[in-house]
Amino acid sequence: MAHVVQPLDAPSGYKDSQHRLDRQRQLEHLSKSTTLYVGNLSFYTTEEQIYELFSRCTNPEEGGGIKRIIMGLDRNTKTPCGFCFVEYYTHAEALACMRYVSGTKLDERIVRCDLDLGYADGRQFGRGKSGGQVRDEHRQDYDAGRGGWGAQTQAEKRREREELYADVGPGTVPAVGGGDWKSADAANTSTKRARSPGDEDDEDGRANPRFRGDRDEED
Amino acid sequence: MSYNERPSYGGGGGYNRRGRGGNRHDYERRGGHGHRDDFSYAETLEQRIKSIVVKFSDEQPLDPGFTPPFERVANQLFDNANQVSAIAEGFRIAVSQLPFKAPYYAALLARLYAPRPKPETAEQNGDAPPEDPPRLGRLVLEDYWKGFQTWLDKLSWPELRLSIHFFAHAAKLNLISASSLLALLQSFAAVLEEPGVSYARGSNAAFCVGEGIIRAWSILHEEHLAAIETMITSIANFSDTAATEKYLVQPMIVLHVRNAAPASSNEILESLVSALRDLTTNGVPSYNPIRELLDSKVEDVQPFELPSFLVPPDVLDMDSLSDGAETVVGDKKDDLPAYLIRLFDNTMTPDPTTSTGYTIRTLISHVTNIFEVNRKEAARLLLELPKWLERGTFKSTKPDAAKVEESEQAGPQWLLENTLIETILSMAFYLPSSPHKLIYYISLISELCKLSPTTVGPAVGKSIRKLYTSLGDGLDVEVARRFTEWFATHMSNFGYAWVWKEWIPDIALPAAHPRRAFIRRAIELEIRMSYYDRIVKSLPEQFQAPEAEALPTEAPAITFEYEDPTNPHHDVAQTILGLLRDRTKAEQVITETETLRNQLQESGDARADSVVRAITLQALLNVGSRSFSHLLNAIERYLPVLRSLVASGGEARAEVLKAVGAFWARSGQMVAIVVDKLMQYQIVEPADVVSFAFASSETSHATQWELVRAALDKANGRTRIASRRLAAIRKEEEDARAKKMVAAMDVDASESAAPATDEPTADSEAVISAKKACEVLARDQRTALAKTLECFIQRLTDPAAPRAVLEPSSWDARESWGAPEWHTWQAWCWYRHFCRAYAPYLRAYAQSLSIVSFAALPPPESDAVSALLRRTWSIAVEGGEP
Repeated sequence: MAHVVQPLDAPSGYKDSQHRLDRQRQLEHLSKSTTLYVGNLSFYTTEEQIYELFSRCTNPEEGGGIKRIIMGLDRNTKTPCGFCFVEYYTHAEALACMRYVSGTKLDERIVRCDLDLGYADGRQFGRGKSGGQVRDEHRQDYDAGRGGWGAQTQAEKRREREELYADVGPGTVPAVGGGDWKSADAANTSTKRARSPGDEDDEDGRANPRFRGDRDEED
Repeated sequence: MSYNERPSYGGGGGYNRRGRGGNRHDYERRGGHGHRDDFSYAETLEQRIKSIVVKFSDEQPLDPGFTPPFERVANQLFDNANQVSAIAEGFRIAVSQLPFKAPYYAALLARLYAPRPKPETAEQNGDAPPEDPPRLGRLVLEDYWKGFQTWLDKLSWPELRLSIHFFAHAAKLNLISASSLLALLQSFAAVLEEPGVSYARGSNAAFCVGEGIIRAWSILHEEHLAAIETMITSIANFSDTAATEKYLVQPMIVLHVRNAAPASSNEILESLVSALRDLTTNGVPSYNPIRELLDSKVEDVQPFELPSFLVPPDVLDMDSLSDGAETVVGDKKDDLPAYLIRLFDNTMTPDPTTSTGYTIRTLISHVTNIFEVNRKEAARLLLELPKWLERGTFKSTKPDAAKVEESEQAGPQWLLENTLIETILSMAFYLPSSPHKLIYYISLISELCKLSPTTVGPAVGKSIRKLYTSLGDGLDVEVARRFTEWFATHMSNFGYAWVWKEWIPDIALPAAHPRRAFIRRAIELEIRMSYYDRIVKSLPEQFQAPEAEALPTEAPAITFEYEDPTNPHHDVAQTILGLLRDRTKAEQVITETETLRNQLQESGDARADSVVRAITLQALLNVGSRSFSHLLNAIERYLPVLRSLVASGGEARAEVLKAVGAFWARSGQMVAIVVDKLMQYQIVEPADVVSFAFASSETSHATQWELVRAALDKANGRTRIASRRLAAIRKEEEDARAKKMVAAMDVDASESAAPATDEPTADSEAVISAKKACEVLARDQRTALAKTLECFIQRLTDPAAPRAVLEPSSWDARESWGAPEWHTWQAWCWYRHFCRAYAPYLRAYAQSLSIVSFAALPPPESDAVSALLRRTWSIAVEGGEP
C-alpha cells in the first residue's frame, strides 16, 4: 500500500556517470544493493568510527553484518577525502541505514547515505580535478574537517598570496600562512589518516580540525 | 539532479533550515505541506482523490479550536462521486496510517451522507424524479468494508485495530449500528477463547476489542453493559495466562520475588484491562482527549450493519500443519508481554491504566510504528499531536501571552515531550527485543530534539537522570545496555554535552555498581564513536582521575608484547612480522613458522607450539592494526596461515582468541571486530568465543555479553541462511518438476494416459549438499547454545558466587554490595536475558540441553540457585513453571 510519506530508504537520483548500466537496470540493482555510499565525512574519521555507527544497523541473527568498508581516497595523495562505501551482507541492513543513520552525525558531522550499485575497483578515488571529491573542488566555504577551503579556492588563494608577497618589502612582518600552503601539501602525502592536524593552518584561528565548530549544514 | 539536491520530504527534510531555531510556530506554518510530495508527479485522477482524502484538514493549525474544512473537502469528493473506490481507498490509507485523525475521518464520512443534488437533466426533461440514489458516504463505507475484509483475511492486525477506531467513531455519528459494532468486537473476543491461542494472536485480538470498547463506550455501555463486561473478563483472563512469562520481561528485576508487580512500569495488556475496569466502575472520565466532532452526527439515514464474520486462523498455523519440510529454527519470534516504563508521575504524563492515558499512549506507539519509514515525519507528527486532540490535553508551550489563558483551560495539561520520550523509550526497551532496531528510536528522539530543542531537550535530560537513578535498583541489564547505547549515540549527535558533574558523587560507589558500570560503558562507547581526546575534554576532572576508573588512562591502542626488545621472543616476532609486512606468500609463512617452532622446540621450549601461534597471530593483528580494512586484508591474505594455526583443534582456537584479547586489551571494540571476522572466516567457532567471553573480566560485563551475543547471533544467522538456501533449492526443484509434469500431461492428454506417476523423488545433489551444510551448522549452533548455558550454570553455581544476592535481606542491603555481589547479580540478569532472547533457538534443542545441563544440579527444593536456574529456563523455553 502506498505510504502517506516518502520513505527515507529510497535511492536518490544520483547517477554514477561512469557506470555502464542503463538507469532501469541500475534501479533494479539498487533494489537489492547491500552497499552504501556514505558522504560528508570528515577527512579524519576512521574506519573504526564508521564501523561503530554502522554496526547499529546490522542483523547478525539473519546472517548479516558489516562485510567491508572502503575508504574514499584522494586520487593523488591517497589520503581519505571524505566519503566511503560500507558493504553489508544483506540488503535490509543497507536500507536500515538509509532510514536511521543517514542524516545523523558521525564524528560530529551530518553524514549522508545513499544506496549504491556496489563497489568496483577505482571507485575508491575522488573524481575531482584536484584528486578529492568533486564537491570539494568548487566548495566556497571553509570546512576544517574536509581540508579547509575547496580545492579551487585554495589554488586561488595561493595565487593571490604569491602575488601579494611578491610585493612585500623587507622588514614586513612575515605572514603565517605563506609557507604553510606548500608544506601542507607535502604533509598530505606523507600521513595516512593521521589524527594530527595535518592540513593548512588558517588565518582566523580555526586551526585544528579536531576542534571544528558545530557544522550542521548538510550540503 | 545533482548529488546533493535531494528533494526534501515535506515536513521532514532539512531540519537545518527550520529546526534549529526550534520554535513551534515555525513548523506550524509549514504543517500543511506535510504530504506535498507524495502524489505530486504525473498524478492520476485516482491519486488526486486519494490525496484529497489523506490530506484532509492537514492545514489545521496547532489550535484545536479550528474547524476542519468539511464542506470544501466533501464538495471536492461529491464532484468525483463516481470514484467511490478511490475515495474509499483514501479513507483506508488515512485511517490505517493517520490514527490521530480517526474521528475526523468519521466526521468527513458523515458529510458524504448529504443527499446528492438531483441531476439537472432529469428535471429539464420533466421525467419523474428518480429514486433517491444511495448516499455517497454509504457507498464509501461499503467499499471500505471490502478492504477491511482483505485485512481480516491477511490478519493485518494494525490495520484492523485502527479500522475499529474508525468504526467506533462512525458508530457514534450513527453511520454504523451500535449492535453490529458490538458483534464485531465479540467476533474478535471469540479469538481469546480459542484453545491454545498464541500470545501474539490473543493480544492483538484483545487490543482490537478493548480499544473498540473504549472508543465506542458512550454508545455501547447503556444497552450492552453485560456483553462488554463479558468481553473485559475474556481479556483479563487471557492476560492472566501470561502471568508467569511476565517474570521474564519486566524491565525492573528483583531476583528473589517470584511474581513481582514491578515498580514504575505497566504491562500494556494489564493496563488495558485496568482502563476498561475503570470505565465500567467509574464511567467516562471527566476529560476526554479525543475530539469527537459529534455535531457531524447524521440522523436521517439507516446506519450500516457491519456484516458478521469469524476471525480466520493464523496463516502460520496452517503452514505448519500442511508443510512437512524442516522449519527454520528461530524463524518465529516469541511474543511476550510488553511493559511501559514510567519515568514521570501521573500529573506529568498520562497514566496508562486509565482509558485516556491508554488511548494517548497507544496513539503515540501507533505513529511511532507506522512512520518508521521516515523518522523525520514521525517526529513532526508526534510534536503536532496536540492539534488533533482536545485543548488542554497537553500543556501549551506557547509564549507567555497565551499562557494565562491556557492555564485556565480545563484538561490534564500533561507534558507532551515527556510523554513522547517516555513512550518511545518504553518501546525501545521492550524485552527481549524492541519492535524496530534500537537505532530507530535513538534517531527518532534526535529528530524530536532537532525540531524543538528547547522543549524536548529537558524531557530527554530528565529521562536520562531517571533511568540512571534506577540503575542499581534493579533495572534489567539489557535495558541498561540499550540505555547506555542510546545515551552515547544521542550525545554523539549533540556535541557530547552532558552535565557529567551531577554524577561525580557516584564515583564513591563500588566500581562494580551498575551506575559506575554505566559511566564506564557510556564513555567507552562515546570514544568509539569519536576519539579519546575529544571525549576526555568533555568530562570533568574528577572522571579523568585514574582512581575514578571511568575511562582508560590512554587512548585505545595495540599491545604488542613482543615489540619490547627484552622480550625473549622479540626476534622471532620480528622475523614473522617482517614476512607479513613484505606480503610473503602464505605457504612460505607457514613453512617459516614451522621452522621457527622446530627451532624453539630444539632449544627446549615445551610450549613452542603455543608461543609461535601467539606470535604469529599478534604479528598478523599488528599488520592489520592500522584500520579495519588493513585487518580484513591481512586476514584474507593469510587465511591459510590462520587455518594452520588452529589445525590442532579447540585448544589452539582458544589460544588464538586469547592472543586477540591480549593484543587488543585496550580496545573492546577491536576485540569484537577481530572476533567477528575470525568467526566469519571460520577460524574460530562461536562456542570458542562464548568460552573466551566468560573467561574475560566481569568488570566490563557489557563487553562480555557483546561477545556472547555476537557468537550466538553468528551461529544462528548461519543456520538460518543455510536452512533458507535448502528451502529455496527444494522449491526451485519442485517448481521445475511441476513444470515438467504439466508439459508431460499436455503431451499425454491426447493419449488419455494417466499423468506420469509421482516418481519417488530422490534428493538431488544440490539438496544433499545443502542438507549437509544445514546439519553441520545446526551442530555448531547447538554447541554454541549448550556452551553458553553451561558457562552460565558454571558461573552461577560457582561456590565463590555469593548466593545471598537471591535473598531479600541482602538485596535490601545492596549499598554494601561489592564486586562479587554485583557481578553475580549481573550474571543472573544476563542468564535471564539469554533464556528469553534465545528461547526460539533453545527450544529446538530444549530436551537434550536441559538434561545435560541441569542434571548435575542439586534438587531445586533445597537449593535456591538451582531452583532459579531451572525456573527461568522452564518459563522461557518450556513455556511454564517447572
